[in-house]
Order: sequence, then C-alpha cells, then structure tokens
Amino acid sequence: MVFHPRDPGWRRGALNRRELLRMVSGAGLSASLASCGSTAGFATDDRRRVLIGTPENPVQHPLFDDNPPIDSGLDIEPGPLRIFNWADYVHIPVLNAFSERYGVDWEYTTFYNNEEAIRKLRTKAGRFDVFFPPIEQVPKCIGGQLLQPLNHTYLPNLANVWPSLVSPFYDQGARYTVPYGVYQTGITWREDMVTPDLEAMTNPWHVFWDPQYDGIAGMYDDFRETIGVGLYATGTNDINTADPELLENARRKLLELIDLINVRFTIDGAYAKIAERGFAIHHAWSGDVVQAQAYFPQGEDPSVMRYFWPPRSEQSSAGGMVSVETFAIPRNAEHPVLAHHFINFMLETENALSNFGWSGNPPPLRTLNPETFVSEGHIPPNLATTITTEDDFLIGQLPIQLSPEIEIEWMKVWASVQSGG
Amino acid sequence: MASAADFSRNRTWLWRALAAPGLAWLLLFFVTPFYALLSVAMGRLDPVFSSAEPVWNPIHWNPAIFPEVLGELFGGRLGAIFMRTFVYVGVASTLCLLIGYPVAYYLARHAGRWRGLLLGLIVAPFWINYLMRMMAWQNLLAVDGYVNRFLMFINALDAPRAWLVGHHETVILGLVYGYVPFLILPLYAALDQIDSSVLEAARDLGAGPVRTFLHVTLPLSKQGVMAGVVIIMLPLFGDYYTPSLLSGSPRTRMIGNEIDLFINSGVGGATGAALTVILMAFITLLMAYYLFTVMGAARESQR
Repeated sequence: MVFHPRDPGWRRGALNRRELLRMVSGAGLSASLASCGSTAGFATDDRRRVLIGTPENPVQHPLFDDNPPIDSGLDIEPGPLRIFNWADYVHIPVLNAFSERYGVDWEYTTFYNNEEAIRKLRTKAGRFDVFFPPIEQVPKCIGGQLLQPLNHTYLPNLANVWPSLVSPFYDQGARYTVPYGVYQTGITWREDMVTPDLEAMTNPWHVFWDPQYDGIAGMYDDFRETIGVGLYATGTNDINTADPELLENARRKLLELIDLINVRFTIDGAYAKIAERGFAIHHAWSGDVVQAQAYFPQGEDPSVMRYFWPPRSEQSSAGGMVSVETFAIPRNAEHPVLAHHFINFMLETENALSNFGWSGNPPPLRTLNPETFVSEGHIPPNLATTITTEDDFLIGQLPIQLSPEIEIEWMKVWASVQSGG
Repeated sequence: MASAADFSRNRTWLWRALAAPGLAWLLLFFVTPFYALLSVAMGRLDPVFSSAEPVWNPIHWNPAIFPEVLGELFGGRLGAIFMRTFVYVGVASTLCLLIGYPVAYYLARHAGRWRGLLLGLIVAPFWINYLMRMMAWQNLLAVDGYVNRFLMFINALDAPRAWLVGHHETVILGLVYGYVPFLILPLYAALDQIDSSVLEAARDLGAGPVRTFLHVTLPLSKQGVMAGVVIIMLPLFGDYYTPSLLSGSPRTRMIGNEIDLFINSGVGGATGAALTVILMAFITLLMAYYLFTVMGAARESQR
C-alpha cells in the first residue's frame, strides 16, 4: 500500500482550535484506528511494519515480545550515559548537572545527518543510551525496531508536557518517544543589510524571488525543508505531497532562484554565515536564529537579527513547517535505566529552561510560559518571534515520513534543484 | 638434481607468485567494491528504512535503474549537470595541457642543472593537504583578498569581484591548479626519454625548430600526453570538493556532487551507485582508447 499523506483539513480556519489540538494529540481517534491496524503505513516482507501517523490518523505503535520495556524499579547503572545527537544540541552545563545528581559520567557522540545516524544505529556500531529522532524519522526507527519502548514509571515529569503532545499522533501513548523541543522553519534576515516587509506580502515565501537579494540569500541544504519552500511558494501547503505535479511545480519554482538570486544551499547559513555577513536573508529554523547570536564577531551587535514565520501573517494563507524533536532510547542501550532518568531530568522545568536558553528550541512543557521567555531574558526582544507555541501547531504543517517510493522522487527533485538543471 | 626444464618450471611458478600480491590488490580494492556497487545499483529498497540495500546474488539483480538514470542524464533532470561536468573536465584538461606541456618541455630540454630543483618545486605544494590549498584560494579570492586587490591595482577591475559565489571560471581555476602537476610529471618523463640524436637528425635533415617540434617531438611525446591527460581526467570526473569549496552554488556543481548527495541520502543509494557505474563506463572508454594508442605506439617502436 502506498502511503499518501494528504491532510486537506489541516489548514488554518478549517477546524476550531480545540478540534485541532485534539487532532495533534489524536485523542479519540486512536483507539479505533490503531487497533485495527488500518492506518497509513505499509507492511514489509517480514513482520516489521512501518506505521505512519497523521493528525487525522494517529498511530499507536505495537509492542514486540522480543523488545520489551525495562522493568520498573530498577537501580540506575553506573554509566556513563551515552548520548547520540547532533553537535551542540544539549547544553553542557545541563549534562554536568545530571552527572552531578546521579554520580555518573556522560559521553556525547555526534552525527552529521539523520541517514548517518540511522545507519550507525542499524549496524550497532555503537551502543547509545539516548537518541533524538525528529518526528518524520520516528516511524522507521520504531518499525525497524531500533528503539525500545519506554517505561513510564520512570518518567513522572511526562505530566509536564503540553497536553497536545503527551500522546501525539505519530506515537500515541508516547510508547517510544517523548517530546524534547519544538521548532518552526521560517525566514531570518539582518535588518542592517535588508528590510523585507514580510507582513505585507500575500505570500511571504516569495521574498526569495527578488533580484535585490542577488548573492546574499540562502536556503537549507535539506531536501524536505527546501522543497517545502518550493511547495509553499507555488501555493500549496501540502508539504508531505506524493503528487508529481506539485513536486514538479516546486522544482521549477526553486530553479528560478539560481539565475534570479544565485541562491546557495547551506546548512550553517542561518546561524554562522549570516552572522559573518555571508548572507543577509536565509531560510531558517527558529533555533538556528537564536544560536546565530553567538556567532556574531566580537563588537558587532546581534540585535539586527529578525525572524518571521509565514503562517503568522495576517495577509497571507501561506503555510510554514512546525515540528517536534524527540527523546528515544535505542533498543540496544547499555544503560536504559539511566537513560529514562535522563529523559525525566530533561523534562524538569528548570533543566528544560536552562537547555532552551542554549538550543533555542522551546521545550513543550505546560509548566513554562512562553510569554516570560523574553521578559526573563532567555530570548532577546528582537527574536521573540522565534518562540514556538502550542497554538503554532494549529496553523503550521508537520513533516511526516514519506514512503520509500515517494522519498526517492523527492530526492530526484532535490538533486535537480541542487545541480541547477 | 634439477634439470633445466624443472628450473624453468619453477621460475614460471615464481613469476606467477610475484604477480599474486598485485592480483590480490586488484581483487580486494577493485573487483570487490565494483561488485558491491553493482549489487547496490541493482539491489532493493528497504521498505522500513527507505535505504538502498545490496542484493548479492546476480540472478535477482534488477537493472531497471540504468535506463532510468540514463534517461535523467540525457535530456532529463540531470542533463545539465552531466554536460557541465564534461565541459569543466574538457576545459580544465585542455588548460592543464597548455600550461603543463611547455613546463614539461622546458624541464626536459632546457632546465639543465636546475632540473631537480624545479621538479621539486612542482611537487612541493603536494606536501600540503588539498583541502588546505583550496582554503588558501578561498582567502586569496575573497572579496577583500589579494586577487581582487591586485586586479584593481593594475586597473583590470573597477570594483572587487565576488569570485566565490558560483563562477565557472573560479571552479575551473581550482581544478587546473589542483591537477596540473599530475600532468606535468608523466609528460616530463616521456619528453625526457626522447633520444636527442633523433632531434639532431631532424636538424641535419634541414628541419627548423618548429618543424622538428611538430613532426618529431610532438608525435614522440604522444604517449606522455595521453598518460597525463588520462591521469588527470579520472579524478576530474569524480571531483566534488573543488566546486563545494570554491563556489557552493548550484550553478557550478559537478556530477560528483550528485553522486555524493545520492549515496549519502540513504534512499537514493541505488541511483548514486548507478551514476557511478555509468561514469565508470565512460572513463573505461577513455582508458580503452588510451591503452589502444599506447599499445599501437609500443608496437611501432619495436619495429
């Protein structure tokens, strides 16, 4: 069965807030759909099965006899806690605080991209205790049995998580994952170099199709994100599309940027290069914009940074991506009890807040009030727009794992865009 | 007591044994990876991880990927980058030859006692890592770098030029700079081997310097030219870091960048492997032509 994740109702104004938040959480729909196994997904040659939840069709992932959760009430292992994550994604003082409380060391191993991370987990090249899959990778990690189910008796702080994400559509009942941070993908610029008026635009994504940004505009070297911009710019908010026509439109639209503004695709443009004036405007993850401040050369003022997320526009119906990073415990973790304690520790309000000040991606905890992030100095006033709130999940679109056949089509579109032809 | 025949048989055995390490090398580092490449290109897509997985048994190979990728390369979505790669490699090889030939000729004919020193100087940059040398170019070609300052000083430019944002000439410059010494060395060896009595004979028979060069030196150095060009063309076709480091723009990407993208994407592994095999086929044609001419030349010289 080919997965076709369309979500026509998932648009601004189509449903009211309460209904939508219930959809993110999937409450009420889960029991019937998950139990009969008719949700979007595809069976494989053996008993492995990938279940891909959507806001309309949430999934509860199955448990397997040979992959049980750990027993309750176990003592923590002596460590060290082995973390497997992107570089610079957990604040080191927070790790040290954990280390102090539990009397264990920590080790931090990094990966460069998700493919590399999953390859490493599959080959069992390392035994890691905590991993951080983004939601569009969660189904394959669970279906491929790379993760172990969580034992919630170790996670009392799960109660702190936003009600809409305690039991999200991609993993009903938080069986394998717990939300770590939320983020959006929008547009960042330096007010001292350019002054786009995104609020006034009928589609803020069109800002990149402007010759005045020749040589100073960049987008992410990431196929889901950047083809996503192509889709938004061609008037669809279906960022998980399987429709070849929509993909072809996006491809043509993105190719225009090569001659128009000599666009470059980078992964560090929105934080490092923009701080060094290598770019004036860039496609940006909200967290990157917060981190950019640390990359400004000494003596230069980072308050010139601005950020805008198109779904917040009053003028436009253009969408924007919003997503969740999660905590998970690899199946072959050597210290699973410690890993559970670590996740619980990170869900403590204070620790989450300390980590947020560094990572820039807000922890989705109801014990935190986003309105105080600026007044308490966690986020500077010029970047207040980077704060992702629970309501943003009502107006943005969430990336969902693509089926292999669709993903390869996306890759080909991306290869073509990147090669300028 | 060993007879002469025994000895000769033993010696045959010895020669075979001496070829064994080379054969093992070839098996281990060429045949095996090539087989793996074919197994991935004609393998299957893992339905759970969306990743290309090898199929080791040739009976189950699915060659459908090749027509598909060839379609993308010729007139399809990868057509532009394929053409661009050929143009870059063609222009860079020609420039390398135009720069390298006079240098090799000078070294072989006129360098005299400076020859050793000059050869050493040509090789010297290779003591520094390629990446570091390209980063040095990044500095030189920066908007406020020395290249712009020099060009503005001699009034060749009115304003500084942004060399590093998607210019074909910058990438080709990087390619030529990176590979020209690999062409000079085999060419120098070929030119050095030309017997000076042949050149003297040409002079004695009334040929001027230009005719001697065109009718004697150039034909005799053909093998060296071919060897040098093949040696630089092979890595030029696969190069992907030069455009990444000196441009980073979609305008200047080469097919190597695409292979890198597909192979590292997981889901595109088969496409990446098929691209590699197709590129290898083109390079093999080039190599075949090279071997053919070299063998022809060798036969001629034995006459």
